[in-house]
Amino acid sequence: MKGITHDREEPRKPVKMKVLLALEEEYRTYLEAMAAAIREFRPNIEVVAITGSSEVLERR
Amino acid sequence: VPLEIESQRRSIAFASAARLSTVGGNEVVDKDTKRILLVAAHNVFREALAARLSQEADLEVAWQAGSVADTRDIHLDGIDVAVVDPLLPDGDGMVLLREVSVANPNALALVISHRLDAAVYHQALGAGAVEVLSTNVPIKDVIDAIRRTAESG
Repeated sequence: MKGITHDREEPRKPVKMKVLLALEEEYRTYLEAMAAAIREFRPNIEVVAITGSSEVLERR
Repeated sequence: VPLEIESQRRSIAFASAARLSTVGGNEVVDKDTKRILLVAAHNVFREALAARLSQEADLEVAWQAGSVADTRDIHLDGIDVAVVDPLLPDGDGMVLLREVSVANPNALALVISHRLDAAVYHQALGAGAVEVLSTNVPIKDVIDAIRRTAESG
C-alpha cells in the first residue's frame, strides 16, 4: 500500500503576540496595572498601553 | 493557566518572599513590609494592581475583597494600609474606612476612585482616609501614596 506523502513544511516561526491596551485618561491607573500584570505573567507578549481622550484614541 | 489564577499564585509567592525572613531557623514577619488590604469591585483591576504591588519588596497585598460583604469577612488584624475604591456593588465603601479603623486602629486608608469629585474627596477624608487619589494618575503615584499613607501613622 502506497503511503501518502506531504511536502516538508518549513518550521513555523514563533509568532510574537502584541496586545494594545487603550483606555481613556481617567483610567490610567487601571491601564498601567493591567499592562504591568501582563508583562509580568506573560513576558512573551508585547504590550503597548496608551491613554487619551476618545477622539485621540480613535485617531491612533 | 488563567491569568487571574496565575496572578494569585505569583502574588502569594511574591508576598511570601517579601514578608518572611529566617531568624534562628524560624520564619518571622518582616516589620518593614507594609501589609495591604485591597478593596475594589473591578476584579481585573484589583488583580492587576495586586500583581503590580507585589513586585515591590516592601509591599504585600495580604487581603483582597470585591465588596463590602467580602471585606467584612476578613480578619483585619495586621493591616497597615487599606486601599479602597468606594464604588462597591453592595454598598458604599466609605463605611469600610470607619469599620477598618475600628477593627484595627493602626490601619490607615487610601481611597482611589475614578469618580472623584469634591464631595467624594471630602467624604473620604471625613471617613478617615489619609489620601484620596483619582484613577487618572500613573500607577507609580499610587505606589508612592501607599507608602506615604503607611508612613503617616
